[in-house]
Amino acid sequence: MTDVKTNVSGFFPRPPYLREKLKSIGGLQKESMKEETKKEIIDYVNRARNEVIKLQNKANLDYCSEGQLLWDDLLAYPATKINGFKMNGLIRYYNTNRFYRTPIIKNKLKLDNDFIIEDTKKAQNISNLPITTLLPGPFTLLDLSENKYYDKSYDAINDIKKILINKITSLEDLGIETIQIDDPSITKNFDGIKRVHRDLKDKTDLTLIINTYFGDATPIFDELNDIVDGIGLDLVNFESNWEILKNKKTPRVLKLGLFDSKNTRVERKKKVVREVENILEFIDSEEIIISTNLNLDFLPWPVMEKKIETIGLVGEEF
Amino acid sequence: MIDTLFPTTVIGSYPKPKWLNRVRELNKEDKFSDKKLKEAEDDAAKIIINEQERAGLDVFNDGEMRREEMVEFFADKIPGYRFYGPVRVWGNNYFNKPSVVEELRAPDPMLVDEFEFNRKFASKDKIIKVPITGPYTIAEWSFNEVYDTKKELIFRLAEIINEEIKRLEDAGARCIQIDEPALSTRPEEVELVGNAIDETVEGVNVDKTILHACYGKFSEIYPEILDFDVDQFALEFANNNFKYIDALKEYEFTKELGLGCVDVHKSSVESVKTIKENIRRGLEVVNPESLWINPDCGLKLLPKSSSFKKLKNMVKAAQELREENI
Repeated sequence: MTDVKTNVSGFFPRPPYLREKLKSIGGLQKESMKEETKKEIIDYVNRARNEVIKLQNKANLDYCSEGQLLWDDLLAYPATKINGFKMNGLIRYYNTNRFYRTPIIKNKLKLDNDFIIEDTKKAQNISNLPITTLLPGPFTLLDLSENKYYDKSYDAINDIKKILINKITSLEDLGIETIQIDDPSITKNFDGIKRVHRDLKDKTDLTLIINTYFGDATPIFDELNDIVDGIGLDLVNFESNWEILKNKKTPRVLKLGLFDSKNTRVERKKKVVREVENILEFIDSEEIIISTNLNLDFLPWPVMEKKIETIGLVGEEF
Repeated sequence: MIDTLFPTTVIGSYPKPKWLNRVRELNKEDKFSDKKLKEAEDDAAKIIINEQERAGLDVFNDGEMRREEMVEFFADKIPGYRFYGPVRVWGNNYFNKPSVVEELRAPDPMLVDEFEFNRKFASKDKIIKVPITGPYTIAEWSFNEVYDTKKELIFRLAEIINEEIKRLEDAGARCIQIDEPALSTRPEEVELVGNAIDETVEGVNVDKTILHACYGKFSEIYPEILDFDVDQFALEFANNNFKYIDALKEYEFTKELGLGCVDVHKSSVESVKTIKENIRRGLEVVNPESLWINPDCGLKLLPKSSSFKKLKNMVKAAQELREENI
């Protein structure tokens, strides 16, 4: 019997008041900022976090995302908190019309400041639903950075791994049960996927879901499936990912990206329900999570709201 | 169309006066009427036309004073589009990405009034360039809820823009520039873009059709773009240090080249000498008769004073080269 759960992939669009506030101080993931400005921003972020957590609770999802409202992109937020990175100019984010600031590795990567932990605690305090936290995947962090320090990428990925393990352990201490690791670059099939993700997994009892998107997961699926608890698949843009579901043994937890974060057309509830019923016939996972295919900040706010509501309604059918 | 060597021009946008932005904000807040906004736009357009004349340009426009964003402006006028709200482009920068929510219908004229106004207020010996966003870029920067494929949306947009260009032609426009910044972002779609551009200029008989692109690896779409049915390519070079000029030399460049010889991402003003050197790089690709001189891209993000000085130096560089017989 498979449990059917619901969530979203996190990374909410910023509400207008938060955008305006950040605009007024001229950018966020900067190295220096006055203490009082920081405090003021934290108030605004708290307000926005409250709002997105309320949305997810109201929609009756099963897991709740912290929201990642402070993150400018998947890399900038962690990279400004990790010693050894310097931020550089904008580069196109995969095959999208979005851009991210490139982190340059200038020195040995070491955890410097806290990140994620405080935000997660705040989210736990206001949500009735269990919080899912998001971390950048090790291969994506390395792939989208420019390495000017390490001779071997093996050493770079090892240091990144250590930082992630530190975060995972701290999150486990907070009582977090599920972490979503966004690792889109993993679909480029790097060396060492098995080793790195096994090391992450070995250090913890919580559920790690490796979220894949922007690429076909077929080439890395088996390797990943051998070692991790959970895998997320984009089932909107990659027809081939449906073949995985039909033909392969699926992981304990399967995150189904059935809602498209890259289109404002809101999915029809009945259609998604049929898709899920269909999937349940050929998979052997303990748990499936009906979700978005990728981060929500590709959507305008009102459409994001509507999609969350619909995900909740689909969940009620199971 | 123009009998001078090295015609000087702009790509389109120019920094807006702060008061115009303020009036626009107040209009959005319903504190200023549409009529007053129009008046402010008219005033701004006259000022910028005058400023570009004083810089000595041969071909220009009103610096797009009536336009805020190159996709939003058109989507707002085409029935079938809807705006749900801003979407992140990077960091804290969001833009009003439009959604196609119904089959697109023919819009009322979108640029004819703008053109007629500019024509009226610019000196008669000057040529007005009309920039219009191309179908590929509009489609690429839209959400598509309706058409089965992106291709269908692109070709519907191509029809709509073609219609608009014909209206402009009827109104007397002689120089049309299609802006396709998304052109080189997906080199694998260059043929699709080409077909869409051909459709966009189908039956158009203005003196000059120009295709503008920036931010791209031109080497990956060259020489394919030479098949596009336009007279000229206005491309970015200064910002990337003429990185792609060698690639363009590999095949005979059979069109005119609009050479981006001034960087629009740096406010420091290039000297006349530097710009002359840049222009000479363009002459490695085409003969002097086929070379137009322009900045890399629109100037709207620069401080106003740098924009003016950059244009002035650019005009002077072209002038000196003409006198020196290159």
